[in-house]
Amino acid sequence: MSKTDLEISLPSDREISMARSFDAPREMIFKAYTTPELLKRWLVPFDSEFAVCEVDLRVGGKLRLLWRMEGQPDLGLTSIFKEIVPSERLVATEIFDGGAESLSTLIFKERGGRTEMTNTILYDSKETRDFVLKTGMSTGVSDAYDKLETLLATMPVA
Amino acid sequence: MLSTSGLDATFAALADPTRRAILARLLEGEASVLELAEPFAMSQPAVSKHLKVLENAGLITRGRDAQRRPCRIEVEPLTQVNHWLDRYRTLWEAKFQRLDTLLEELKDEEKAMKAEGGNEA
Repeated sequence: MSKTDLEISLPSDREISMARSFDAPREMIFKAYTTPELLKRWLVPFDSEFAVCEVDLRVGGKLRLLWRMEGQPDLGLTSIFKEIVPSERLVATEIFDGGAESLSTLIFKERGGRTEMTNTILYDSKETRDFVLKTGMSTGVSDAYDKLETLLATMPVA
Repeated sequence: MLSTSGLDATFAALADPTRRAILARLLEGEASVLELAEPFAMSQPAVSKHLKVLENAGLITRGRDAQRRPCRIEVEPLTQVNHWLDRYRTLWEAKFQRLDTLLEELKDEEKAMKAEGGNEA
């Protein structure tokens, strides 16, 4: 997999933050995040599909996603929109079925036709946050010192 | 491979900015408590307290030299934490690369629509 500018950081004990830029105007990315037809085209791994993909884009409205993969139990996510500033900001609670509620804040900033996205997710506890981090998929192992430098660089020294 | 409790100790130890700064300093080489206390404008006991947490998390070891007891960084627990970050990054990067592809397709569609509209006008 090629290296991109996706940065993962841990701003506090209960948060995970992601930052990445995209070569597109922010209106387009906002649409990709909030339109069922478009969500189906990127938020689904190749070997799965959405059994449910519904978006009611208004404050208090619900987003419901249900991923289906052969031979695996369905994975569901329910989200309630708390704050909507079209193309700029999207705040929503998120609960994976059977899990704890978290709060996701998505911010899109456009600079010269490119969009910088940050998504900060606040979990109910440090334990939940750590669990989410630990359930990521496996990759290879590379040089320990490089990774250490990267880790320290991504952790804000307040 | 660290146990889950080991990882929790690592995360807890890393949650403090002073302890992260101490680790960053130790990346340059080992140092005594006195040398570590200096740039932080902290008392020696306060630094010793942080060092104890780092030591319990396995992030540093202390030398045998009774006088200096120099602190040395241990990479293994940090590497483990970084593995989790790296896996998480990979998981999301795969999604974002599909989003990149979608955005390119949307831009092409927009261009095609504009061209079509232009022909009609």
